[in-house]
Amino acid sequence: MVWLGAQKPDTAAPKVVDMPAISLLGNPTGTDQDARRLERNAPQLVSVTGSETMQRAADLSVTDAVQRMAGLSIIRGNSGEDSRAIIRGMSPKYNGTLVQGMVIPSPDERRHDIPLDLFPAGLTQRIEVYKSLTPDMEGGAIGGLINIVMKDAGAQPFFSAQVATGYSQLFFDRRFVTFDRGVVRYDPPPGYVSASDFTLANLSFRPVQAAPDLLGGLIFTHRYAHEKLGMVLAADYQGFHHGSDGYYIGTGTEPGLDNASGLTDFYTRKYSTSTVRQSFYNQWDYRFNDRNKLTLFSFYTRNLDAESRMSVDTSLVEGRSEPGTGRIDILERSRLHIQQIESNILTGAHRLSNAWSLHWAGSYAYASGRYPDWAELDASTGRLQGSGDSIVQSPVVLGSLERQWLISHERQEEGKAELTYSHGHLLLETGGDFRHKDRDNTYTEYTFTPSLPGGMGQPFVDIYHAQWLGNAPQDPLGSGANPNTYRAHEDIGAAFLAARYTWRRFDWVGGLRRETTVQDITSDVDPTLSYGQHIHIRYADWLPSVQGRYRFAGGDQLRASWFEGLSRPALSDVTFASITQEDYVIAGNPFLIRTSADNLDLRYEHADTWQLGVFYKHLRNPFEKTLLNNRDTLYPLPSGGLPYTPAGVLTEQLRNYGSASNYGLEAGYTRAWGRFGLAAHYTFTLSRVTQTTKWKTRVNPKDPTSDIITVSRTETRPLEGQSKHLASLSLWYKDARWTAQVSSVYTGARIDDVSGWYGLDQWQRGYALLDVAAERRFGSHWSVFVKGSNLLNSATVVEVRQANTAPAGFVPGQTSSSRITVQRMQNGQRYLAGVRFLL
Amino acid sequence: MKKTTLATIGLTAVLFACNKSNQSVNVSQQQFTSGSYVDAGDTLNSKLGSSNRAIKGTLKSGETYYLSSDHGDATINSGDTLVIQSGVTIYIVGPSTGPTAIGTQDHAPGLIVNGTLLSLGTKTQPILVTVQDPTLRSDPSKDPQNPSTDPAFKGYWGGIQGGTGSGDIILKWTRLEYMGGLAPLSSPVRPGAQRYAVFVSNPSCHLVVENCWLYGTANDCLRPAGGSYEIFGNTFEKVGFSAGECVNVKSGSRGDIAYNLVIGGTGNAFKSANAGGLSPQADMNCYNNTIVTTGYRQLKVGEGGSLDFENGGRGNCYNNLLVNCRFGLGVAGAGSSAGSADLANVHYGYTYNYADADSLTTQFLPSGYVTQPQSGDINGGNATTPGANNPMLVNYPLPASATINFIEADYAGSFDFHLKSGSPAIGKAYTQFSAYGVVPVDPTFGVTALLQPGKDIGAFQSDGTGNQH
Repeated sequence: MVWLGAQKPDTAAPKVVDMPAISLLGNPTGTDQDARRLERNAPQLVSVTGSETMQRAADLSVTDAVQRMAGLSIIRGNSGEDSRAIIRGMSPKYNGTLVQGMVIPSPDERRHDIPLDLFPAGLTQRIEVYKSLTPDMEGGAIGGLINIVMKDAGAQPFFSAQVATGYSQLFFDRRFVTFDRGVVRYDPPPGYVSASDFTLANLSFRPVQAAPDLLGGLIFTHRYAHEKLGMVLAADYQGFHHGSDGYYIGTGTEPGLDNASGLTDFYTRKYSTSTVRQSFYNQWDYRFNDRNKLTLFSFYTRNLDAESRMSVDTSLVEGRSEPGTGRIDILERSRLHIQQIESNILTGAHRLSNAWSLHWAGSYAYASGRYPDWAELDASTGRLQGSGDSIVQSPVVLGSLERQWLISHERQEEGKAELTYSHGHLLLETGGDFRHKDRDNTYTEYTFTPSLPGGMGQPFVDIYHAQWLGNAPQDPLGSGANPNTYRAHEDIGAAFLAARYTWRRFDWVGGLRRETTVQDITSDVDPTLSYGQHIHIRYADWLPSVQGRYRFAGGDQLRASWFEGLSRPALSDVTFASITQEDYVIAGNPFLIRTSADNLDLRYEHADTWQLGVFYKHLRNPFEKTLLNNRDTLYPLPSGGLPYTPAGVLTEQLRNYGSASNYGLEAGYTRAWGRFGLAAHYTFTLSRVTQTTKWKTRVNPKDPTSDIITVSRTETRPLEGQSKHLASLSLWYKDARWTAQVSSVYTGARIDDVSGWYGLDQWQRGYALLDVAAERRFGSHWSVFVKGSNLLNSATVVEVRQANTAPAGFVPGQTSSSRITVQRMQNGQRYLAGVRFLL
Repeated sequence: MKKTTLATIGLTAVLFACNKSNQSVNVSQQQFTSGSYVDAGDTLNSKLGSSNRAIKGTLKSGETYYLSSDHGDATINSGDTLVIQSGVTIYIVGPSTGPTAIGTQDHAPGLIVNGTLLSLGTKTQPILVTVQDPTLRSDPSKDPQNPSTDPAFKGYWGGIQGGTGSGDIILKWTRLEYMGGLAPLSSPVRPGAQRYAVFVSNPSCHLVVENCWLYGTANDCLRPAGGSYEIFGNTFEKVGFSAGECVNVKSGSRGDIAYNLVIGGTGNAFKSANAGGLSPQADMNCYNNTIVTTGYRQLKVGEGGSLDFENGGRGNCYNNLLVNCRFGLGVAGAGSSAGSADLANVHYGYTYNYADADSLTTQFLPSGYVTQPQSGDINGGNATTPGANNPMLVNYPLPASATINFIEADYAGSFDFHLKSGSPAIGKAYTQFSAYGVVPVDPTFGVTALLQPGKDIGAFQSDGTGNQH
């Protein structure tokens, strides 16, 4: 296994004679120097960020560090949480995430990628981002594979503890809106329910002054019994408040004639989120002798986001005759999101003889995600133009209320083994891997309708005064048995054969990997009424690769690589799951074909200073969000007397397209001059995918009396999430007492959300982030650190690139006549100060 | 309501033979049948305890059949036909109380139509679908009553649901009550939500709703979301609890809506919105309807309260009488493209607005819409004095009582919405256009007669034509 040392004890033979042994035991390789060395010596193309860099930047989570890495950018949730990595313009669905070299299950209810902010920077020794794959690696990574390596036990005892506090500028400027999260029921009420089975306090909101953030961590490593037994104990706690302010414009599910954006609602939104993230990690390793070693690794993290969202929704359609008029909804949402990941890994490394060695690993991992009682209170009023210019406001009345529970669990068992034979300059490897994953998803929803006591609606006071029709939800059994409630399992088996050969200054690694995939899904669909209760999917892929490296005399290197990678649709993508909105459906697609890709790379590395590389990816069967309607085939299965199932009303579904391309250039520069240092990256990326979109037109565009219909049209665009330009720059100063760093990241414009309608993709404008961190050491044990992040209070601005034809002021928040701003959010600056003790 | 005697339309063929003694011979036609008769007293959605029975054949004239709330939907399969002969009664039966009572979740079966449904009532022998237990029904003697406790909105059964490949749905002289029960979670349409009373979703099917009574729904009553429709001479009463339209026309649908009476609709009576991406464009030819006290239970302010064109909807709208509705005819298109009707293809006029309150007369041209006063309108502008131009209905108090609670003014009772002689509505209608006539004229498989625009505004014509209820 070629993880950069993570599972390679120094007892194993060096795989290539002149390649230095990558020692796990002797080197807790978190330093910049080691990171550079790992990058240099790896057979693959890899970027590494070590703990030294993360500490210098006072990073809180892996996300903070990843965004500074070459070719990587981050997408986040509305209040800054739930971050995922885009690698070289490839969205998270094309990438893989590993911990200690092993795949971990996802707590997400739909996707298979992992939010990177669940991993505290303080427990992380380094982050490895693999941009090319060797045959012994997971093939499910076209963009790249992120491996998070946790801290390890070095030869010397190590103890570190830190405690910090912080605050968000947002909550200096306004109150934090909270609700009673303690009352929230984690599971839906059982059986046939009435209104009294639901809690009220979680829909009663109050503004408070946010308490200061509290963050702390400690880590202790030691080796016992003549250094045979190694131990790591670590814990991390992060409790903090974050949020965002801004606005959002709803565009509805359908545009107007010629795809004119249908702007329906203007929402002002204020998010207040309290996050509590607890992580525990321990590792035990035992070196029996210099030929055998076992390691037991165990990691657990639990993340709770308690989020309130206060919105005011002004309809741009209903009753709006001029600014200040129209239907107005006051929306107050409370949402808890609890995510857990647990990973237990036992690995063994055995040197069987001078020529043979064996590595194996077994793991049990678990992930869960839960949104219990996600609910939004709605109070509605209207300001209508009455006689003359008078504006008449109607009473504020209670609207309907939905309360939903989304619960997903993934359990995963994996075993793999690898046998290595080395002889002279030749090294042969073979191995296999089997991974079984169980997933179950539960979705339940209840809808309450306000009773009408008389007059015009029920006057709104608060949740405690709300009276519901029948004193119960209209669906007192909930909506459990539906295609969104399913159980699934996935078996992925792999076998590979690889060879490495060193000849003079050339190193070669190549081979073949075979991955077989079996997915089984069972939903609660009634088989007497509908097809699709069971789905069985099976496929297999050959994944060849070859990589070469030429080492110049001065230490420079030239690398070339070609590998075949794949991207599997997530289990929820291949169910018959169906979310029905009025006149619009979002449907799963069991007939989705996985994406495969040829990946070519060429990189020149000058010592440890600069790198310059180019890459090209050719994707086959990319899958993209697509709109279907009318007689478009939704499923190739007979239905209602037809030989296939038509889409009927507008239906959004992931569909395959022939091919896509993605290519670019990566440049990196790292240099230290005495006490000063600099790291810079720049990535240029271009991608193209051509897909079918929908277009609203007249049957005869020249005849204004002919019917408006929805037709298909081909559109070519960049891949979702791909920025043409990415850049990062860090400058630091370091002496015996002080460390200080300024870092900035620029993410160029990218598609934030692909639209199934022609020309209506939503683009996020380019933005820059600026962070500053400093640390002052006192004596040999203590230090104090401060950090200011997002100092520019950078806004997330999302636009539709279409002429803005609304009269001035009618649609708020607009700044240009050539585009429509549909979202603008700001998270505010964050400040952090803490003290660290190091033994 | 006053019953007007008229020449018999429907299933009776009139053979006129003139001889010297001027004798007329009137031979009634055989009632239409398809397949074999379903056993009288059968449960349509269950056979020997099964659920989701596939039903076809003919329900025999005068007999009673059942829909059991203990079982799932009854289904007319693709290629099959169910004929309901005149005088048939279908009762929804099941427990009246408790967690499995009629109309509770999973206990509101509907009739799924993937084949063809012909419900062929006659004026003298209408068809009735209602809940059997009289204590579950809405008691007319309690009207006006609070909608929160009025059983009319309960949704005891799931109504008639046309699939994406359905055949035609023809409803004549049929009284449908208490629709809008929750769809099963496996339903392709509105899983777990209140069903529409009559729903079609196949742009190539025909929907005829003629001389029917549609009484009590939880949400939308007729929803053509794909289909050619003719909706003539019906009475809509107590439609929608706090959302829903009497006829909600979506993309893929085109047809006529005329001579209907609406009283106490929750939102709009009739709406055309081109949502859903089907062809043809949503198109309604909406004329000579009488719409009374509608639009008051709709929770969302400004969503309309009588007639509405939005979201690319098109059509005509003439000769409609609106009495004390929350909002007048709404044509969306203000400010931006958002939600705009297909303005180039919406034609309207000859609207007769009447209202008794200033808050209503100032919304004859609803705020936020682009509706313009048209020639031929009566009370066409927002400056109308409340009470002006009383339409003079035969037996309906106008001006309305000062204490009227509009959300409860949702019942037809013994009111008579015909026009008194001397009504300003008489002779004021526009007739220089035609019915679309998108469904063939046929006593069994189509519309009995295409009703062309009438010369009096509203559904009830002073010459006795129009709405026959």
